[in-house]
Amino acid sequence: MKTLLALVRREVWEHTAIWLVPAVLSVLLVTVAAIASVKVLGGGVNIMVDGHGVETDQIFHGLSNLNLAMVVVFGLVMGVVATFYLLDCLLADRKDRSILFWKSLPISDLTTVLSKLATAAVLIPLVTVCAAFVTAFMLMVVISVDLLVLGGSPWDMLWSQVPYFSNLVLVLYAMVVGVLWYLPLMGYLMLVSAFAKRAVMVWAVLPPLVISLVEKQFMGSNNFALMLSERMNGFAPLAFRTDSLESMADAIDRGHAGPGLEVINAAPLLQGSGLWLGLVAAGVFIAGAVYLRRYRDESI
Amino acid sequence: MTQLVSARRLSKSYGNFKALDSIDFSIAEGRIVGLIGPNGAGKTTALKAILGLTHFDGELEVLGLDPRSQRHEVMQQVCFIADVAVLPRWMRVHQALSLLETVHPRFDRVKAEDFLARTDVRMQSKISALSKGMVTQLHLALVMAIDARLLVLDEPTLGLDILFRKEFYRALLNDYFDGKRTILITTHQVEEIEHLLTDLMFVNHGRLVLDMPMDELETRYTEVSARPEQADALRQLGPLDEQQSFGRTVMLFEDRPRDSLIEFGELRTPSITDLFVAKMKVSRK
Repeated sequence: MKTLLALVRREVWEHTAIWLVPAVLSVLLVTVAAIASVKVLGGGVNIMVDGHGVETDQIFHGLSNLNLAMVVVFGLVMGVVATFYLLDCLLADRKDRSILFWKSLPISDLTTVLSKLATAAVLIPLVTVCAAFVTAFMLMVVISVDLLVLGGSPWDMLWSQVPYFSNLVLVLYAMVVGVLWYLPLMGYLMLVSAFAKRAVMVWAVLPPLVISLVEKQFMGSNNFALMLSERMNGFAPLAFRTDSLESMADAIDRGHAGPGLEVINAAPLLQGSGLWLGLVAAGVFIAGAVYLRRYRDESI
Repeated sequence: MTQLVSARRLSKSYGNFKALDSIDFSIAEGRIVGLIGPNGAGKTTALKAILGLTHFDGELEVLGLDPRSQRHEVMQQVCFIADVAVLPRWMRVHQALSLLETVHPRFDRVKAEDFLARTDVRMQSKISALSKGMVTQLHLALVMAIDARLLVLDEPTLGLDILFRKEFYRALLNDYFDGKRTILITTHQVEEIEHLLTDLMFVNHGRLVLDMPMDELETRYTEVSARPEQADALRQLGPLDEQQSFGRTVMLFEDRPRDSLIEFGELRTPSITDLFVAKMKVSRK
């Protein structure tokens, strides 16, 4: 365990994007918000939605979902960071030959691969959620200043409106489910990273593309492509009550408070085969990555 | 004497190419063994087999363990420096120390810091910012701070200038080697390690062409510097190798008593380089 944590720390040293990207994104969002509010307050700009003026309390109800909105924004960006990280993680040290240094340490290849998986499947999601929450908090501070200048009460209009607890539970639930759902994709990217000598992107994209085309050509079907797109499109329809997701969107549109815990519904996910088959596939891919890492004859 | 490494019928092929062709050897505790051979002779393959980095046929035991299936146990007591380029360039010196401190049960951070304090390597430096010589110093510091039983060095001073090379071997001998530790070195620069070896192994075409303690060099090998008129007679005795130098003919003999050679000219113990050249010529035939 001590070794695993030390190795995860080493991944953060090497792949600075893991903390640099969310930090920059956060600073960027808060700065833009601050500049925008200076403009709004100073210039008396009217906020228009669909060409109509909007009531301020609608805006503030919408803002009470800032936590969730930030999680979505950071989640998308960090998904890209994680993809590039996974593609690089078992290739970088083979490219610069430092693999021989790593192999000279008394660390099993299983531990090495697991430390990289833990970085992508545990650390990056946690960083994402933390960065999203911190950014949401800072944005709320900016908005509070706006409210004070406008003569409103930040507590009544904003801070007391946010469902902190249900936000936290929703986000953690989505994070766990999301990681489990995307685990086969992570495993696949690691396998590619352990296999490719160069052009890792091409190796990542080519096999699924070829399988889809071959299936289309010879069997006239596109089951594989459908399966992939279902996997990519995500777990939300399976993990949340879709009807309440829609009504939730409506509610936000109408300026009501965001979703509560009632939208959580794990049954379709747990009863369906997608999650479990995915985990089996993830296991196979990761075992493949460990095997390649262990037995691939890297020349000295 | 404990055998740290023992190989029997160790073989490794890449397609039709036999990198190692059924070789037997062993390395005893406390020895400093030079594994010497031309490029492609099989040295690196032998090292890779010992370090569990490659598949092989035959038997091989390292510290009583199988390097294939027990690799990470083996690596607790075996260190290696492959060549200077292998430390990760993005890493900082203090990061390397913290990492080893956590993952290596036999690493002594204070020792490494003491050694580094005598160099120009700074804790905050990034490895990519260090000179090649400094990277080697760092690597040596890391390795010397590990209480390992076997240290494997594969061309450790390749591409370094002479000052760093001298310093490298000086530190290795004075600060690391204590008579109980065992070192296995491969290098092209034979003359630099000549004086520190206790054992000599020559490989060529995947075969062992010489495996001998250094103190037998004097008794088994003799170089005769013969006057031209005596060269033909001397040639009858079957030298291993023959060279012309400054108008004299220098012949190298194997396992021939010095008494029988003294009449032909001056006798000398050959340098490892000369012996190496002779042995390589013979094994090519």
